[in-house]
Amino acid sequence: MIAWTTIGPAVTASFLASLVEVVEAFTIVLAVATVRGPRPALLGAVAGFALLVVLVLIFGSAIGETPLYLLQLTIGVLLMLFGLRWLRKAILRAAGAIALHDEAGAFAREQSRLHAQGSPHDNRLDWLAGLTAGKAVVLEGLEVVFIVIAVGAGRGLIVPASLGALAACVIVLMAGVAIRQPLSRVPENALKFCVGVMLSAFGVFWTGEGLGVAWPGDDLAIPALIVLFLAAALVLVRIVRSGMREVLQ
Amino acid sequence: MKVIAAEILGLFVDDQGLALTVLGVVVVAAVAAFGLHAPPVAGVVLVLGCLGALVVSTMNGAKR
Repeated sequence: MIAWTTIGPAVTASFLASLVEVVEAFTIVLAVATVRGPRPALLGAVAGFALLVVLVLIFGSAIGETPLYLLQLTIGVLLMLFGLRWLRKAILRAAGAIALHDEAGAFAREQSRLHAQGSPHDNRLDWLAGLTAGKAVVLEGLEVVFIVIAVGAGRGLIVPASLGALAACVIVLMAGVAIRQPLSRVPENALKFCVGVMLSAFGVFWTGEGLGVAWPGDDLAIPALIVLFLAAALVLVRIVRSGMREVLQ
Repeated sequence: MKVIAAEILGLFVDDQGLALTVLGVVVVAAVAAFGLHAPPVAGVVLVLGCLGALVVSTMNGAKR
């Protein structure tokens, strides 16, 4: 039986990460819809989603035939690279060393890029707009697919992790359709900070499992690693922030 | 396709120094686990190595 100490972090990580990615994809699809109308935006988004489903089916069947230790090692290393990258950026943003991601700004930039492509009556631009929406769904969706597979595959948690991602998609789409504006009030950096901590911990855990490490407490090592990475990240935020203050003074 | 390939690579590699350090940590841990037959040492290398890589990469990022 799989413990809640494993299911909880896996579902939470896939839910929070998907929330961030779906918000980013939604911003671009909404920008396309406001500039070129809902049809190319929806067609592009649906086509992008269909491509993602095909990729999931291809990779899903390959995962079933991969030896478990190799799967844990491969996914663990990729998760460490992915998680530490997110966490590093989130720490620098939280400390004020780099600018926060601006969803409203991204929306405005995408709108002006689409406006600059030509006359509003040029039907060829609907294709470009559809491609833009499709590309956004594919690129952001790939991150969601990777995270779901990465946190779920090592312990047979693909279904709970997928449900976490699906819940995030439903929440973002419902909120987005209701307000019809970019979801700029979502605390993206806080979410990325949490997800970076969780994915880094999962990455170290799976890599260790793949190398034959017997973690103390077995699955309980996952929450312990999460606490360790969280503590290190919070200390780093303080150090970087105080360093920035000294430089400014 | 080029854009998608670049984006996929970008999912894992942002700061090259961080990515290379993490891969180096994995190699050292693998040597400890399979070469020295000491998986507990591999676990310690992974945890401390990743924390160290995060600290160094973040401090370098802040300096830039």
